[in-house]
Parts: sequence; structure tokens; C-alpha cells
Amino acid sequence: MKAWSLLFGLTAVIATAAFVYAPFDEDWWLPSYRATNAEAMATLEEIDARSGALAGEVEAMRDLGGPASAEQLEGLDSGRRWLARQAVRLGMMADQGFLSERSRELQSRAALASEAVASAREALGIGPAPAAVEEAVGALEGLRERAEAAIASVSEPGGSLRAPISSAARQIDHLYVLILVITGLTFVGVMGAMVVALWRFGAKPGRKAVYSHGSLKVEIAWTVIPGAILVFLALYQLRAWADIKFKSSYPDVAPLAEVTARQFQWTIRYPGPDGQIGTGDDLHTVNDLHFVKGQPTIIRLKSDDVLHSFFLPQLRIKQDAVPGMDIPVLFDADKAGRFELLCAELCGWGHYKMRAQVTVHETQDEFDEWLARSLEEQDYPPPPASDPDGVAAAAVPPGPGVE
Amino acid sequence: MGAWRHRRQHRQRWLGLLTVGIGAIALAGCSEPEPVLFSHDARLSGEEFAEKPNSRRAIETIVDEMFGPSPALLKVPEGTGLPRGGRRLAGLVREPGSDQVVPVTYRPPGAEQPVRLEGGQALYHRHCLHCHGVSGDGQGPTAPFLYPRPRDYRRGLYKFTSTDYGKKPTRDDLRRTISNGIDGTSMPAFRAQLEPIEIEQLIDYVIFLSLRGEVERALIEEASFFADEDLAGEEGMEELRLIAEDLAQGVIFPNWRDAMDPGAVVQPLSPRVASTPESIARGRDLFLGTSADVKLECVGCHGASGKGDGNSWIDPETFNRYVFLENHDPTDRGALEKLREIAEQRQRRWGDDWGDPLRPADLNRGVYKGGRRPIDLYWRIATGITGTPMPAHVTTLRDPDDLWHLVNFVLALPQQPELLRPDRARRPTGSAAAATAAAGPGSGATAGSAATASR
Repeated sequence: MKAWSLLFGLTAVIATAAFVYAPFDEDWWLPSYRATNAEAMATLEEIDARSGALAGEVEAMRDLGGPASAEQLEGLDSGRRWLARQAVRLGMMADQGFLSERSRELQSRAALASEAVASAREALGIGPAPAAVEEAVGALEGLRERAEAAIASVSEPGGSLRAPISSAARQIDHLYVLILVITGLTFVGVMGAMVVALWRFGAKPGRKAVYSHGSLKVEIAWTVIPGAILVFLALYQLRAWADIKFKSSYPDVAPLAEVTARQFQWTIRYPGPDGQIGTGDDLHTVNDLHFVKGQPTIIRLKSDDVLHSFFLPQLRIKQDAVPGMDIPVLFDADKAGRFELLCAELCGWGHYKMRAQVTVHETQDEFDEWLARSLEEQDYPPPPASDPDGVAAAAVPPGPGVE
Repeated sequence: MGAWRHRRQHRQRWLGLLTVGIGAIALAGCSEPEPVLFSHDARLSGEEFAEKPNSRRAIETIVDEMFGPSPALLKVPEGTGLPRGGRRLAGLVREPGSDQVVPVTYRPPGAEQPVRLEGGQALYHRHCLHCHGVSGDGQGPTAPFLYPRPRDYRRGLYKFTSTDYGKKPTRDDLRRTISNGIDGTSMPAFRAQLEPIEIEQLIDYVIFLSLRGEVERALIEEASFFADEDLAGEEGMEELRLIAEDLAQGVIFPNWRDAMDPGAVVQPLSPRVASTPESIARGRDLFLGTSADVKLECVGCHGASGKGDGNSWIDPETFNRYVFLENHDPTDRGALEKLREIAEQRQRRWGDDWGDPLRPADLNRGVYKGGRRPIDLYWRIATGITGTPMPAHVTTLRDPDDLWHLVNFVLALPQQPELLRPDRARRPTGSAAAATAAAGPGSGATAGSAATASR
């Protein structure tokens, strides 16, 4: 018996430790913003750290007596190469839609800084060049500041790695933690009581078993207390459910797009310039969802074939797509960047493939620019500029005797 | 006390046995997996070669010598035109004339260190094999359950190309297909799943499988000129080997290399024509064959209502019956054979060059398999769809603008069903009203009058 009670005790301790530490520790619980944007964030952080250091290095060469040493010049060279590489990485980030405006600006700044460092190196190879040094330091400081601002715009200083980044995420994470604490305490309490009972009332030589009808009081207590907890949870979560799922509580915004799930991809249809979905000027994309940071966004969710589920893990949004139904889904995001859209309902053999990219733009302008560019790509090649003569000429059917 | 000890010993023994058991299962799980081999053309194991064991052995041996017997040991012949000599097909490469096996690397733009490539072979096995099969024969485990069937690469024919009818696709064509998928089929879009460099590796591997399949097919043809006994000895083998080399280097590889040439892409003969009601009406007349100057056969396949129910094809009911309803066991081609027989009896079309069932596109649905850009539709109409009865129209049409009129018509049809079916005119209500009100009635009227005029 003692072995059993030890086993229970140990289980309770390990489980408690797991509950307490695991969800708040690393990124395995739910994909975090930082995990999805890891590469872009790493680039920004590297620029933040190293351009400052490089600026200091250059600064130190301002008041040299003569030409810089070969070692110092080598340092400048590697700094220039590093800057050129960052410019390429930033360009890729912008292409992928991670803060595209900021990334583009940073890219041009990195290119400028690279040039400034190159000319400083040129000048310092000959003799002291305070002006060139000044310029390079200025360019590097500017780059660092903008990188810092970009980081600040997407992650909160000192915030948890998994800081909730949408209205739904705040409500759901709060409920999750609350329920976790309640069930965790209950679990520990039950385990503890079981250990005590096993330890104290285990079989002992010479002790007789007691016959008992049970205790009404205790039975009422262990029925009413869990019941009360459940009723509390049921009522307490109503607000979150209503905010996330009730159409009546949705803000009055036009749907951003129509998302149709099919085996095994998300086909997305954005309204074109006329603002209407279902017309000839719509933009059709596959596995590519775009919306704007800080704006409540509604999509219309449909399914072409079987049940799918529209799951935005970082935004804590999940909604089943049901064939024959047109379901509005509301979400928003506080942070710009790239996220994932997954299918969370086993829909067939290719279920694992059903993954889309989500790009949250920092401003409406950024989104509009993306939309216009995509529409242009979809309309490739563009019709000739609308000069009335050209159109008229093209519209006249050629007669039979054209040859 | 004695009993307790005995019980403990007993328990320990059980524990020991359990450990051994779990260990054995784990070890069995870790043992070398069965090697995956490239499969050979089904004809080689069929009736055709039942009496010709030597021919079969010779063909299989030569193909394996040229391309490797299995994906894990694949070989890339000289002159394929694959980037970096085909090194991106695998993660590890043995350089010619060396015993060293080295990893294949790639330096992403902006990166300091090169990263290792997984290789097209490994990526293909993870993402494509279950439909397209180990050797690219379109016979993966999930293939029988799909319609349309997955592409069989071994003929080297691809439907959605920017090149002339029957010509190889460009890398860009394959890239578009892998990135965007094929709308209306089971081919998913891989853009969100794969890095650009991974897509390039897959393109390499798809081309590699095509090269292998084409060489194999050509050899099967060539082997029919040999008596089976001649291929029993080394002498006949050597002769066939030389023929294979000639075919590969002289015909098959150059065809693919030509597609890599930027000049292979068909450029529109005239600049794009704006989608005006007049242009759409002209496209409609061309489609219906009611234009006075040019007669096209669009309606024969796509039907007068554009639903893909033209008279040259087997009717949709029979088609659906044998492809979907009666096809209880999709791994058995019985139902499709029946469909083929019926189609031949009635002298109707029923499938494509790969022997898979096919229907002409329903143009009312707005599902464009090869892409919805105007240029994509231009290529479909101008150069046709390789492997299907959709012909190239670039020579049929005298006025190059007519191609754009057809494109404009096809793009407008899903929005304006009244173009072909006057009864389907949309009432100007709901979300579609704006577009229909803007373009619909005007174009409808023009289309109607043009049709009457030509009648």
C-alpha cells in the first residue's frame, strides 16, 4: 500500500510541476508569434545589436593620427559585407510580407549604411576622415533606431513569448489559465486526499475494517462544490463566447474575404475595386490570407467538400467550415507579421497539407498596396492603356477579306 | 518472507521479459526499411513481354544503369540540362571519379553559411509520392481515388504549358503548377508549404522522372525491333545501350533543354485587348461558330451552353456513371474500360492521351485549371492543352486579336451566364448586381444582336 501511495504522491507532484511550469515556459504549448516570425525577428535583433556595435567600432576611428590599421580596415570590410547581407534578408522579409513597409525602409537604410561604411573605409585607408566616419556612424545609428522601432512594433518589451495578440486570445488565454488553475488545484487536492487515505487507512495487522453507510454531508459537499465550480465556469465564459461567436455582437464591417476550404487548401476570394465579393474583378488567392493589424476583420467561411476547421492558432480562433453553410468569422490582431492558418478538422489524407500563410499588414495602405499588386499580377498581361481609338479598333471584327 | 521474495523474483522476471519485448519491438522498428525501387513500365511485366524475358531484362537493366535502380541510388546522366548537373536531386552526392560522398549545399541570399539541401528526391517522397508514385507514373497509393487522375510524368507531356502544343513545359510552368496547385483538381498549392528553393528541387526531380520515363518508353519501342534471343547476350545489350544513349542525348534531353530556352515561351501575337462588351461579343461569336469569317469547333466539345457537354464527347450522364457511380473499386479499371468501349461504339471521346477519363471544361464555373491570368487562358487557347483534344488555335485564327476576344469571353462567362444561356440572366439584385448592371445588359444586347446578324 505504501508503494501505491508513494506512486500517487509522485504522480501528483510531477503533474503539478508540469502544469505549473510547462505552459508558461517554452513555445510548445501553442505556436507563438515569436516562433512563426522567428527568422524575421532574428534578423531585426541581429541588426539592432550589431549595427550599434559596428557604429562604436567606426566611431573609434574618428580621431586617428594616420591611416587606419589593416586590422581596422578588415573590420570595416566585414561590417560592410554584413550590412549588404542584411539588406538582402530585409528585402526577402518584405517580399514575404513581414512588416513590408518597415522592412523596405530598413532595406534601403542597410544599403545606404553599407555604402557609407564602404566610403569610410576608402577614406580611412588614406588618412583620417572624420566626415566620412561621422556619416557612417549616422547611417548605422539610423539603421539601429529603425530596427529597434520595428521590433517594438511587433513585440512587447519584457512581455511573455506568448503574449496574447488578439482580443479573442486575451479572453481565451484568461479562461484557459483560470480553468487550468481550478482543475490543477482540484487535481492536487484529490491526489493529496487519496495519498492520505491510502497511507492512514491501509490494511494493518490487527485492525478491523469499519462498516459504514457513508456520510451524507461529505457526499453533498463533493456534489455541490464541483457543481458550483462548473456553473461558475459556464456563466463566466459566456462573455467570451458571445464576443467571439455571436453574429449579433459583431462590429458592422464589410467582410474582408470569402474563404473556401477544400481538400486540401484554402481558396480565398477578396473583393476587387468594386468592393463586392462574387464579381469579375475579385482577387483569387490560394493559401494566402491578408488583413490589417488592429482592425476587426470578418471573413465568410465556406467549404467545398467536407468538414474543415479554420484555425488561427496565434489568434486563438477556431471555426468549423461546414459544407452548405456560409459562416462569418471575426478576428483581429494587435501585431503585424506572419501567422499560420491551419485546418483543425481531420478532413482526409492531405489534412496535414492544409496550411496557409497569414500576413497581417501594419497599415491599411500596406494592405491596399498588396491588393493592388496582386490584382495586377492576376490581370497579367495588362490591357493597353484605354485610349478610345485603340479600343474601338480592337472591337471592330475583322472582315472576311482581311488577307 | 520467503513468499514475498519469491513474488518479487517473479515480478522481476516479468519486468525483464517486458523490457526485452519492448526492446525487440523498438529494434524491429529501427531495422533497415525495405529499399524503395523505381518501378518499371507496366507493359514490361504485362502480356507484351511475357514471351520476351530477355528484352524485358535488357530494358530494365539499361534504364537502371542510366538513372539508377532506386531513388536512393539515382544517377544523373550527362547532358540532362538540369541545374548544377542534377546535384539538387539528392541531399548527398558522389562526385564523378571520386569515392567521397558529400552533402549538397546552397547559400540562401543574405546568409553567411551555406545550408544543406534535402534534395528533390526526399521532398518528392514526402509531398508528391502518394499521388504521383515512386517513378512518377501517377500510380501512387492515393491515385485511384482521385479524379482527375494525377499526372503520369513518364510521357514527358504536361498540360498547362506556355510552350507550343506537345512541347515540354518550361521551368516556370512547372513552378506555377507546384506553387499554385491546379484549381478544380486534387493538386494542392505548395507555396505556403515549401521554400522557393525546395520548389526548385522538386522541379528538378519531376524533370528527372520524365527523362527516365521517356527513355524507358523509347526503349520499349526500340526493343521490338530486336529478336528476344539477340538481347540475351552482352552483344545485343551493348547495341541497345548505344541506341538508348543516342535517343537520350539526341532527342529526349535536347527537348527538355530547348524548353529551358526563353524563346520557347509563346508570346502573344498582339497586345492584350481590353475586355469591352464588343470584345466579349466577338469572343462569343467565335466560340459559337457564328462569326462570318472564322469557324471554330469550340461548341463540339464545350457545348453550346459552355458546360462541357458537346456532341463529340460522351454524354455527362454516362461519363459520371462509369467514372463515379459504378466505379466501386477504383483500383480496378473495369468501369473505365466499359466507358471506353461505350465511347468507341458511339464514336465519342472520353479521355486523354494518358488513357484517363476526361471532360471538356465547364466554362461557366470560373474554375481555370491552368491559372486565371489572361495570359494563362491565352496560352490554353493559342497553344492548346498537350495530351488532350484541345487544339492550338494560333494558326486557325487569322486575326491575332481574336485570341484575346476569346480570352475575354471565357473570363466574362461565369459572371454573365446570359451570354450563352439567355434564360440565366441575373436579376440586378444582390452582390452581383453591380457588375451585371455595369457590363451585363449592354454586352447581352450586343451579343444578341451580333448573333442575329451573323445568322
